Amino acid sequence: MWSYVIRRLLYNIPVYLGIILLVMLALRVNDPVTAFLGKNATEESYNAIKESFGLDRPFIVQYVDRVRSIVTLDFSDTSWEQKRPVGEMITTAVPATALITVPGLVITTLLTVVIGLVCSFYRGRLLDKALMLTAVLGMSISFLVYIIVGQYFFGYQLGGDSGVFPFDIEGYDVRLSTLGFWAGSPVEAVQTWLQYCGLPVLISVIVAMGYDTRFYRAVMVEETGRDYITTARAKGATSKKIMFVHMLKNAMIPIITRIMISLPFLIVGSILLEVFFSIPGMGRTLITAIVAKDFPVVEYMSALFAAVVILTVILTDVLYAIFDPRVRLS
Amino acid sequence: MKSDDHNFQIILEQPVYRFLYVLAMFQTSIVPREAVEFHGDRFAFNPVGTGPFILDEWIPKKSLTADANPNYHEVLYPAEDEWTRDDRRNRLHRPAGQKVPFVDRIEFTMFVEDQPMWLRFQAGDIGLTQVPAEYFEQAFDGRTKRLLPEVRQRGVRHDIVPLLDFIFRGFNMEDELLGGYTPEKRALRQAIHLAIDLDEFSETFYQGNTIQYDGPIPPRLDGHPEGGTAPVSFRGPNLQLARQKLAEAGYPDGEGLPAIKFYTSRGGNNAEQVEMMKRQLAEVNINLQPELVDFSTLIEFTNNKKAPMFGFAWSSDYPDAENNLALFYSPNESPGSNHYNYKNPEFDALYEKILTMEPSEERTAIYERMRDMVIEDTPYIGSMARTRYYLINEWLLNAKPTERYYAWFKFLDVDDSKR
Repeated sequence: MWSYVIRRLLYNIPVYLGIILLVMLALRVNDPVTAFLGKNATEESYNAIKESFGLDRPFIVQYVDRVRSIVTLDFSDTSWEQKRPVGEMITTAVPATALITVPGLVITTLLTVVIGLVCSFYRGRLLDKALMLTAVLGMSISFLVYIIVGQYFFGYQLGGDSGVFPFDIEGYDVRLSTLGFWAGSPVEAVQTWLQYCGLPVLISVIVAMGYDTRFYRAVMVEETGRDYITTARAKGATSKKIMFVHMLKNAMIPIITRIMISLPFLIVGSILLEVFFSIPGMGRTLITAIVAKDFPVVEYMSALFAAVVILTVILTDVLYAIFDPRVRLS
Repeated sequence: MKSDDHNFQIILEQPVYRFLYVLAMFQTSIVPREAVEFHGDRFAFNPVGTGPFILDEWIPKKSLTADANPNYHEVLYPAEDEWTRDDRRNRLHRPAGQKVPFVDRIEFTMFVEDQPMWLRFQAGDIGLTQVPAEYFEQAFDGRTKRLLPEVRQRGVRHDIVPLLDFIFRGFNMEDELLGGYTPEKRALRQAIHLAIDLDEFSETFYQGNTIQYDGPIPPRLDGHPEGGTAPVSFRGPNLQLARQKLAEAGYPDGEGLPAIKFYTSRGGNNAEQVEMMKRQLAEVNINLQPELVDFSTLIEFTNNKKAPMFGFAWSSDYPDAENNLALFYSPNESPGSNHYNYKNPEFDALYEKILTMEPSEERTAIYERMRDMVIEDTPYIGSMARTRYYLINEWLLNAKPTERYYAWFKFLDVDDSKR
């Protein structure tokens, strides 16, 4: 297995270098210094900024320098706009994003797999139809609508005259990003998490449920027609055992695929959620960097995202082999 | 020149009136040299100065918090007679003569999206907010622009701040087709100007919250034409006169006039604005060829004098028309701020004269003359200035927002009983 992993990593090196090259080229199509300084910059300030950003060097030197920094995990280059090391920005943004996306993924997966199993078991009956209708309706509504209505209802309307709101619709407590806070006062940490992250997680679960429920139902329905299910029934296995032991185990490949596809987005975060809820996660950091033409941040974050995607694809293959003995990596 | 440990002198080669304004800009704040040298380009994140507040935390694009400076020198709240009648009605005069700042801490929240800002204001969490365009009619009557009674009943008051804006579409005066100072060239630019309906732009893209005016001098400044209309005016829509001017320019009914290239950035709703402009000009058979480009490309094209026509805006650095008239001073030509590359020796001579003049009727008369010279030559289509609407919750006291200088935060106070 290890030789497979190493080989796949080596194959992906040119792809990775190509991605970094493309991102850097794309950002330099228009003069980044002019874009950064605005319309009335003097020639002196233009030259000074160009030099301080390292853009006066030949492109190849800039490229090699960037690749070297990424490979050695040296993210000490500073953001043009915020004058902070990019590494510091990423390390503060990742926990904020993870606190929304990871619970969202876990809750969605657990719920939708169970609903998928139930739907497949009651296939064609009223319960199945009702659940699928709900899923389709849920899918048909834009993410943005859920956010706007969710913020209005849970973050404003529900409070009414009492002035007590179940969720905060803006902001983030930076203590949530520290392990000490969670270890020191877990109850307060969970309450704070619910206050700031509860609503975004709830919205992300509602939005994802429609898609995932339909997907898992389709997977489970396919499994119910297999011979091993008939055999299990013939042997007198209970419905619960057939669903949660036999079927679930055999459906693990598509479930893993689905989860692994989502993984890179857990890092990049949900731009919409982070922007609307003012959560300083990766998505918001990236979008504000793009708007501000803060290219070091955009370049490093693109490189990070590309690395996560590549590693996820390799990890997915490895997990296939672990969960399904018929799969052999070679 | 240093006088002693707490005083210094600045000696100017000649009187320059704007220098007083420049001193009031944040760029000329007094800061300790050693702190600037120590923090370098991170000084903005570690500011050391003489202000009423001390920065506690600044998370760019998210929040900024500052605590009252216990060592702040004695500054008193403006005396009663310095407040206008409207200000007095809003009880802004009450703490007159008291030492500022009043609050221990001040918190700013930056929102990327309008909805959370609006909801938090309505929930009473935020003391003061701009009114986002899409929520305007939840607070104001769209027609009369008056605060809705139900909003006023909640104790919310409002403040309207006309911005010192000069929003325009410029012509490159060195362009072969659009530039030049002959009567024909002037007539062509005037024809384009006359075909444009700025009121329609205002209603469609700014909810009618702009002031349209002639010349480059924004409202409330000396030299701004009374009622916004100057003695010489080519503000449209006046399609009949536009056609007449087109004929004078040698393009009767638009015949023979090549397509006009118009460069503007692709941000915001510029694509839609360009479509409206194209439609309005088509009514007099002028064919506009828009080029929506990246902002850096737009700057490059204007700096290199390659854009025949371009969309820009100018926000005055200080409340003196001199700042706007500098945009037409020939030594400031591209890549300087005179992107029109407007050159008029008479205008230049007047500009040099006003630099040393204090506000007076004589100076205002010169401003007006310079304004009318520019209008006559028409190096741009304009002008518009936005009006900003602020809402203030009952518990926030002494708020009188301006967007020019930011020193007014030290006057704020809070009435906890009304939160």
